[in-house]
Amino acid sequence: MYADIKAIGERIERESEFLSTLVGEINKVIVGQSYMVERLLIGLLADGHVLIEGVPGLAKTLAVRTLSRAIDTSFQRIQFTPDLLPADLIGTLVYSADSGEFTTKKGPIFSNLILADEINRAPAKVQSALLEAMQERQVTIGSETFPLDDPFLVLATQNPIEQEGTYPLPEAQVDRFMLKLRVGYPSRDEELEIMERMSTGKEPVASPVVSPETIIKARELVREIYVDDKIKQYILDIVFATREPSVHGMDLDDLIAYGASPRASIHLIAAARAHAFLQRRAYVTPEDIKAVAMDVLRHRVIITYEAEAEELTSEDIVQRILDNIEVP
Amino acid sequence: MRVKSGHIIARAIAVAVLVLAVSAPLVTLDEALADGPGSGDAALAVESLVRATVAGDTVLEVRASISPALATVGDRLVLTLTVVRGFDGALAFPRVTGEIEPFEVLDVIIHETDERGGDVRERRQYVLTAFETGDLSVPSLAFHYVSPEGDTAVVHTDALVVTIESVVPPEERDLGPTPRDIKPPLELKRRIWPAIVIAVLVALVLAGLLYLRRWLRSRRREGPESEVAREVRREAAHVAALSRLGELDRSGLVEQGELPRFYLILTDVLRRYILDRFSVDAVDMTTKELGSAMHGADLDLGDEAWTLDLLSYADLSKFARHMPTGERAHDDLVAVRAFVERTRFRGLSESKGEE
Repeated sequence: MYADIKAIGERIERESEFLSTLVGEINKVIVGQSYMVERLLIGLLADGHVLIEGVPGLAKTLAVRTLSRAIDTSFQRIQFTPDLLPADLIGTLVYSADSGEFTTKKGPIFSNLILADEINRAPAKVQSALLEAMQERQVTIGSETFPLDDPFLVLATQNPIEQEGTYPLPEAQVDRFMLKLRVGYPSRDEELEIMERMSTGKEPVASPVVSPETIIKARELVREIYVDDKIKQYILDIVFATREPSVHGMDLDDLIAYGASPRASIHLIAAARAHAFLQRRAYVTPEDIKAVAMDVLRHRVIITYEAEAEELTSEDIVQRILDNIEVP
Repeated sequence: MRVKSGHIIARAIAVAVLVLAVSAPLVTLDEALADGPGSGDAALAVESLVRATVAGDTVLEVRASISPALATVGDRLVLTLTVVRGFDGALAFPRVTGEIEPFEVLDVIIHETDERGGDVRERRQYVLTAFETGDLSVPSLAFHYVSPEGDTAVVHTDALVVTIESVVPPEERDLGPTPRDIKPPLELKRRIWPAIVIAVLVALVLAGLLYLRRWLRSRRREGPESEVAREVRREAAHVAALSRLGELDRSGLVEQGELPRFYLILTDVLRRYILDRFSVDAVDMTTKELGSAMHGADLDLGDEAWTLDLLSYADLSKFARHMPTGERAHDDLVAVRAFVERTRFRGLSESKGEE
């Protein structure tokens, strides 16, 4: 049995070589932000969409664009604005005067990597169209349904400031993102390097180093990574602690309005597998769970007004849960 | 029973009073007018009669009277205007509506024209009242007449004077000075400072209570453990660990080949010992996290490295289905026991260590 896991480990060793090349290529353009890059790779390998939140100028868009170039996939950047329509996103039927028939004009969503820039600036109907496509992985235009390309990954960004004139994503729709990342400022040394790199007049550009097929193959391998029952129980402990903290000996009932959905368990195990893959490991350990738990849970735990009054965030709550659940 | 009969009598009296009150005669306007001039009080009326000859032979007779001639403030006075004239021609009564200073007109009744003996008799009555005292005068009223030939004439009545008296009895009218106006309401000075001080005190008390509640809750959430309890656990950490290791040794899990379970218990004993003895929360930490956390604890570098090695190896057994050998499991059990023995006095006070 351990031999099977060992065999998977050897395959991972062989087939994860592209990761070093990919990360190296991304690092040619992006300075620092290793946390964001690693999470983007987790999203890519676990086939889960990623919502990136951070103030302007933190290379969110650049990171996603660089990733798409390095993977050699089709990439579309959609700037979400208040006047965007669902048809601008998914496509529409266009009448052809020559043939006298309606022809389908596919929208930018028919791409491998979608960067939904400032997703909270578009009205609900557009967000809904995108999030439906994310979930179903298919789009219906007129009476015809079109499957989306594989890999299909949506990386959305949103700005935590300037909330005026925005349409915050409802909880049900945020839940469809596997990870929600909080991107912070670079360190002093990283910013110095950014200054030097960007002041040469020649902006570095990533080259395609990985094919989409490699990614799809890696995804299959990620799904084979072993997750022991003890790890599954640990995931359930964490997720259930967000719903019934008192059962797990935590006095957080007053602070949590709604706990994480079952999607949290699904995404937590998938993201942990991808994290283990990035560590070139064929099995998941509690470290993998803890590494991705915050990104999987921060947008799924809805805090109460009382928590807000105590200036607590969902991250504080998740951290308390992670600190108090016994590791197997 | 007496009470009941008393009730019945009281009720009967009340009903009787009510019936009397309802059947009491109300003085209507018509009755008031009927008591006007010409009735029993006619002696108190003031009357004026003017006769005029208009357009040759037409005689116009205008009679004005007011009754009573002596009244008190607010009493009703009836002014009666009667005109007797020939058939022909047209007559316009004076306008006595609204107010005729200093009287107020309360009501007007226009009687039907009476044609008898070749004359036309027209009568109007005005109910007046006055709120001033003294001799008040109903001014001269003008009647306009137009003959069939188109000749016009105006006939004026004489002014009628009535006396209006105060309601105060005559013997009290001249007693003492006129009552002065009552004092205006005394303006109370608002003393706002006590209210502000009380409000601030109440706010402070409420804020204090809220803060206390929040502090107690946060303290409860953090799960404070008393220093004494922690110290007791710390001192007894090796005892508990050695006891559990003994149980594990006797459990026969190694011989039964249940090595993942063996390592699960072994690492749990080790983690709890580290928690209790060195106050490093090893139970809630992953192996990697524990590696970082042990740097600050009172542990030798060798012990740190050994602990991490053992936990990493145990992770393989726990999470990757790795099956260690029985010898290795036995060696690890011995090593953990030796570690506990080696560090049983670590971090405790000297006197306890010597004991």
